[in-house]
Amino acid sequence: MPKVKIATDWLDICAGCHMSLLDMDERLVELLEKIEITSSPITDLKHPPEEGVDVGILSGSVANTHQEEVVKEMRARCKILVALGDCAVFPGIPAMRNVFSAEEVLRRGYVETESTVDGKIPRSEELAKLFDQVKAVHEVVKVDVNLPGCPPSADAIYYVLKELLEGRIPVLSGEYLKYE
Amino acid sequence: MAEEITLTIDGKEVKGERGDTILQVCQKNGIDVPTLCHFEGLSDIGSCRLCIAEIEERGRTRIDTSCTTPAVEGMVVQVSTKQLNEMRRAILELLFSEGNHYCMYCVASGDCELQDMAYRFGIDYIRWPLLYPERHIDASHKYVVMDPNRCILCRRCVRACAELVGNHTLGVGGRDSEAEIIADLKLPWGESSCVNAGACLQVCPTGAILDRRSAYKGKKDQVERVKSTCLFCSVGCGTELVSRDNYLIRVEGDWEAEPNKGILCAAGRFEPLYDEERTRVLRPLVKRDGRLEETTWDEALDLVAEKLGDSDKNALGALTSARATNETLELFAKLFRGIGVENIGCLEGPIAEPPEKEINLAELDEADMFIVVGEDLAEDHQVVGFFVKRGVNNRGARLVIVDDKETGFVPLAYRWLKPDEVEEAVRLCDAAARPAVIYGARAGEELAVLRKELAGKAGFFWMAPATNSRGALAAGLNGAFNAEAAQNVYVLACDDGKVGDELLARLKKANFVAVQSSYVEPWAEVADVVLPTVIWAEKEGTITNLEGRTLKVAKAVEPPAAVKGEAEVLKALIGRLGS
Amino acid sequence: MLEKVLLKNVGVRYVERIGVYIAHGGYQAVRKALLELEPQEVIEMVKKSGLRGRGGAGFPTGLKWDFMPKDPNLTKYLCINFDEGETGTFKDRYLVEEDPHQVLEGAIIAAYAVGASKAYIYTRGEFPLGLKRWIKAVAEAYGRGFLGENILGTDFSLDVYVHSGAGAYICGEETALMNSLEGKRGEPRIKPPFPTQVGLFGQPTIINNVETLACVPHIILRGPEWFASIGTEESTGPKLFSVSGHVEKPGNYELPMGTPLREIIYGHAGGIKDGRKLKAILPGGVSTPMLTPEHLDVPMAFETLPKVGSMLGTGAVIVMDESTCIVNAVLHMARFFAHESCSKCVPCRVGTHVMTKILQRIENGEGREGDVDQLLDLCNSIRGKTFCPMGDATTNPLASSIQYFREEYEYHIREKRCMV
Repeated sequence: MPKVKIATDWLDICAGCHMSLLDMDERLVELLEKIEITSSPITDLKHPPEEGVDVGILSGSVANTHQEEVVKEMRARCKILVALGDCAVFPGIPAMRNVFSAEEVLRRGYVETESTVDGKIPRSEELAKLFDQVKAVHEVVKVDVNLPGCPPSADAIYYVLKELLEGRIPVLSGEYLKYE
Repeated sequence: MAEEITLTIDGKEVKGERGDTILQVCQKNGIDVPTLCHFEGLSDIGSCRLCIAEIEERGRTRIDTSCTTPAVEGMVVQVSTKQLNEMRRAILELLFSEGNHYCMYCVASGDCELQDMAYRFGIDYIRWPLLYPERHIDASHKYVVMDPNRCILCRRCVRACAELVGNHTLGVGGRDSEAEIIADLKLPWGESSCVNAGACLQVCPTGAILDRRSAYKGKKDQVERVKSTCLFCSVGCGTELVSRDNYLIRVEGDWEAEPNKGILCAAGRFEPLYDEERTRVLRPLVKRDGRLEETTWDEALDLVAEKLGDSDKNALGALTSARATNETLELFAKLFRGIGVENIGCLEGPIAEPPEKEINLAELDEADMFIVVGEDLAEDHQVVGFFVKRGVNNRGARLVIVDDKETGFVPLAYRWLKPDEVEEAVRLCDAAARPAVIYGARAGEELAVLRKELAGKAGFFWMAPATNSRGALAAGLNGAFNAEAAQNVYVLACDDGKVGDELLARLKKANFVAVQSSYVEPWAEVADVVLPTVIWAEKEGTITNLEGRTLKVAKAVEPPAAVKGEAEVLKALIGRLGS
Repeated sequence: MLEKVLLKNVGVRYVERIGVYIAHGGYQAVRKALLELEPQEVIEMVKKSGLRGRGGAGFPTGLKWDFMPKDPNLTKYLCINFDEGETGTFKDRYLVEEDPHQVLEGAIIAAYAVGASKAYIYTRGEFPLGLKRWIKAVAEAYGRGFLGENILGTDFSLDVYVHSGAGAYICGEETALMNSLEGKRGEPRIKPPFPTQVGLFGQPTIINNVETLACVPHIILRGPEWFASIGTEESTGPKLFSVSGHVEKPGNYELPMGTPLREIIYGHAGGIKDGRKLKAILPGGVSTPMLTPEHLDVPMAFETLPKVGSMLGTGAVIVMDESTCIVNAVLHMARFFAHESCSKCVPCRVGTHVMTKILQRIENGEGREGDVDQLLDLCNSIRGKTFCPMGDATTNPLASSIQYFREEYEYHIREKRCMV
C-alpha cells in the first residue's frame, strides 16, 4: 500500500504549530509507517513535488505576495488542504496589524522604532510586498480542514491525521477544538 | 399562585406559568436553549438572537427570541431544530467577525461564554470577512479594565449597573461602528459616576471587562471556590472566594445569597485585595527596648498570661473588635468574665441594642419612600445604598435625608433635612404607602420622633455599626469600656483597621497591652505583645448580620504557618490562665 | 382620477398660514368631527374608508384606532411620525412644507377619535423648514382655538408638542420613536406590549404617519365611500408617489392607489432621462425588493406588489437606468443600513457591515469566487432573525439584486470591474 504523501509549509507564523506537530513524539514513528513527509520546513525541501501530494498542511497567515504564491501552489498540488493553527484559520495574531495600512506598519517597524537610526524601508523588487490586510488561508483558496489552536495540541493534530488516513474529513469537538 | 399553562416544545408537552417567557418554560423543563445576552436576575432584551425559536401561534409560524416572547397556552414551539442551530451558528460567526477576538492571549480564554458557545456549535473557522474595527481600551479605572475589542454588546453590564446596583453609570453610546459601552456621557470610566460595585465585572460573559488583579491568575477549572460572608460591614453579603494554590485571587458575589443576591460593594469586593497596605504579623512579637521583636508562641503567651493573671482584677480590661465571629466573641466573653474582668467592651464603642430583633432587607425593594437618618450610605453599608438607588432610580421612590452632614446620597434626595426638621420628614410620609427608615450610628433624638410618629407605618432598618454588632450584643459585649481604669489590657483586634485615635492614645498610657491582631498597624506603639491571628479570608465560623441572620464564614486560604485562628489563640490563653 | 386631494392647496400662496388655509375650506373637517360626530363614529368612518397607514407598513388605520382602550379616564397620546427616513421618500416633507394645516387638522380629528389629550409631532432632525412650519402652524391653531382647552366649545382638549429628532432612520419605527421622545436611546422596544396598550410614557398611544393623517379631513368631509372609490379593493384613496432617480421629472405625484408603475414612470415622471433604458426600480424606497422592466405593469398597491416579490412600502419610486452599476448602487444602500443600524441586535448590527465589506471588495475589483453565495447566505442569516423589521429591510435590495442581476455581480468578480 503506497504511503500517503504529505507536504507542509509555514507562512506568517511563530513555528509553534510545527513544534506541536513534532510534539506527537513517538506517534510520529507510528505515522511514518503510513505517511511520507515530502516538502516541509523540517525536511528542507522547498516546494511540494510537481506530481502532487495527498495532503497539504499550511500553518500561518497570508500576509504578503510570496505567501500567497505558496498557498496557491500548495492548493494546486494537493488533494486535501489542511489549515493548521489559529494564524492559518482566523487569521490570528498577524491580523492584529489589520487596523493599520501596510505602509504604516513598515514605517513603524523600519523607521519609527525607538532604537532605529536613519531607518529605511526596504523596497527591493525581489522582496515580497506586504498586503494591507493579513488573510486567513481560506480567504485565498478553498480549505478542506480547518484546525484552530495556538497551537493545536499534538493530540488534535494526531487525531486529524488519523482521520484523514481512514478516509474521513475530521469533525472537531471537545478537547480537539480549542482556539488557544 | 399563577395560572398553569401547557404548551408543546420540541414535540413534548410541557407546563409553565402564565407570565413566563418561552425561555423560562424551557428552563423549568430542562430544555437547553443557547443564550448569551440573557442573565438570571436581569431583564431580557432579545439582543444576541441565539435563543430564537420557531413559534406557532394561532395558525401562524414565526421566528422570534424565546427570551422575549410570552408563553401562551397551546403554543407549539421548536427550539432545537437543525435549521435553528445553523442560524445560531451563523449569528455567532457574525459576533466573531465584529470585534477583535484573539483567544490566544485573552484573559478570559477558557472562561468565556462566547468561546464556549462557539465550541458548542463546532465553529472551526469564521465564514464572514472580519471587520477589524479600531477600538481603544479604557484603563482609567482603579480596579477594572474595559476592552471593547472583546465586547459583544450584550449589555449585561448596562443592565447590571441599572437594575442591580441602581447606579445607571453604564450605557450604550453611538450607533453603527461607533456603538460601544460608555460610562456616563462617554467619560473615562475612572472619572465617571461609577461606585466600584463590580456587578458589571461579574456578569460580563467575555474578557471585555476584566479585574486587574486577578487577570491571568487562574481559569475556571484551575481555581477553587468557597462560599463565605463578607466581613467588612454588618450587611453580611454572601460572597464566593476564588483561590488557587492557597492564593486568594478574587472576591465574587454569591448570586444565591441573601440579602445581597450577588451584589457587592467596593469595600468587600475590591478594597480588601487592592488597598491593603498594612504589614502582616507572621510571628508573635514582644516589645523589648521600645521595639517589637519576634519571639515564640510559648514566650508570648506566657507573658500575656502572667500579666493578666497577676494583676488586680479591677485594673484589667478586655477589648474586642466586633468583627470577630460569634464563636470567638462567646469564647472571649467567657474567658475574660471567667477570670473576673468586668471592664470589657468593643473596639467600636458601646452598641445600643435596637428594638428591631429581626430585619428583612428585601422589604426595601417594596418601599416607595426612604428616610435615611444619621447614615452615609455612599460610604457605609453601600449595598443597602444600592437598594435605595434601585428604589429611587428604577421605581420612582422618594429619598429624604435627615442628617447634619451632607452625605453622598444628598444629590439623589428629594429633600435634605437637618435633624431639627424631622417633622417635615414625617409630613412627607403622608404621601407614602410603604416608607422605610434607615438609621445609622449618628442618629439622635430625631430617630425617636420618627419611631413615635411612624409606628406601625414605616419599617425601621438598623445599620449596625460593626460587622458582628449583633454577635457582640448576644455575647454581652456591648457595654462601655473604661479606658482610664484599664492598666493591663487584652485587645482582640482581628484584622480591623478602624481604631479611634482617642482610644489608642489612652491605651498608650496603660501598663501592659496585649494585642491579638493580623496586622502590626495601628498597634506598633501601643502593644507590648502582638499575637498573630487570621484575616477575613482565613476565618471559619459564623456572624450575625444587621438583619439578625446567622451567616457562615468559610475560609478560602490557610493562614501563614505561625499564625493562629481567633478562637485558637484564646483557647491557648485559657489553658495558661487555668480558668 | 386627476383631481388633486392631498395636494389641492399646493400652489396657493401662503396656504401654510391658517387664515389662507381656512379661506380655502380648511378646518371644516374638524368642525364636522367635533360638533357633529362622536369619536367612535369617526373611527367607523375611517375604518369604512379602508385607509391604510402610509408610513410603510400599511396597517389599516381605523382598526389601529379602534384598538385604543375606550376608558375616558386614561391618559392617551397621539404621535405624528414625521421622521420620514425611508430613502427616496419626500412626500411627508412636501405635505408639511406646503400645507401643514392639512396634517394638523387630520391629527386633531385623530386625537378626538381615540381620546388622546396630547399629541407629539416627532420631526426628523434633518428637516429645519418642516420644523419651522410645524411650530408656526401649531401656534396659529392655538391662536384660533383649534388647539388647547375646550376646542370649539366642546369638552375635547388637545395640546400639541413639536419635538425634533437627532437624525436616525430607526426612529421612524414607532417604538424607537417613542423611546427617542422619552429621552432614551432610539432603539425599538419588545412587542408585545403594543403601543395601544403601553406606549409613550407607558400610556396607550397611536402613532400615525403624516400622509395618513392628511387623508383624514377628506374622509370626514367627503365620506368614506368616496375615499374607498379611489384606488383598489384593498388599498384605497389617493397616494403620493415620490419619484426620484433617472427620470425626466422627479417629484411627488398624487395618483390613485393601484396606478401601474409604468404610468407613474412614463406617464407622469416623463420617462427615463436622456432617453436611456430602464434597468431596475425600487418601488417603495430602499427597504423594498428590487423590480425590473418586466414588472412595469404591476399596480402600485399594498396587495399587488407582494405578488411580484416586492412591497409598496412608502411608495417612493427610485428609478435606475442602464448607466447604473448595480453593485455600486447596492453598496451605497448597504452603507446606509450599516450606518443606521441601532446596534441592538447582532444580525443587523454586524450583518450590514459584513455586507458592506464584501460589496466594497467586489466594487474595488477584489471580489472572490463564492462571494455572491456568501452574500445570499448572509441575507438568510439576517432575514427574520432580527429584533425589528429593519433587519429584513437590509436584505431586500441585496437579495433581489442578486436574483435579477447575478451575472453583473459575477462579471464584477471575474473581470474586476463594472459591467457598465
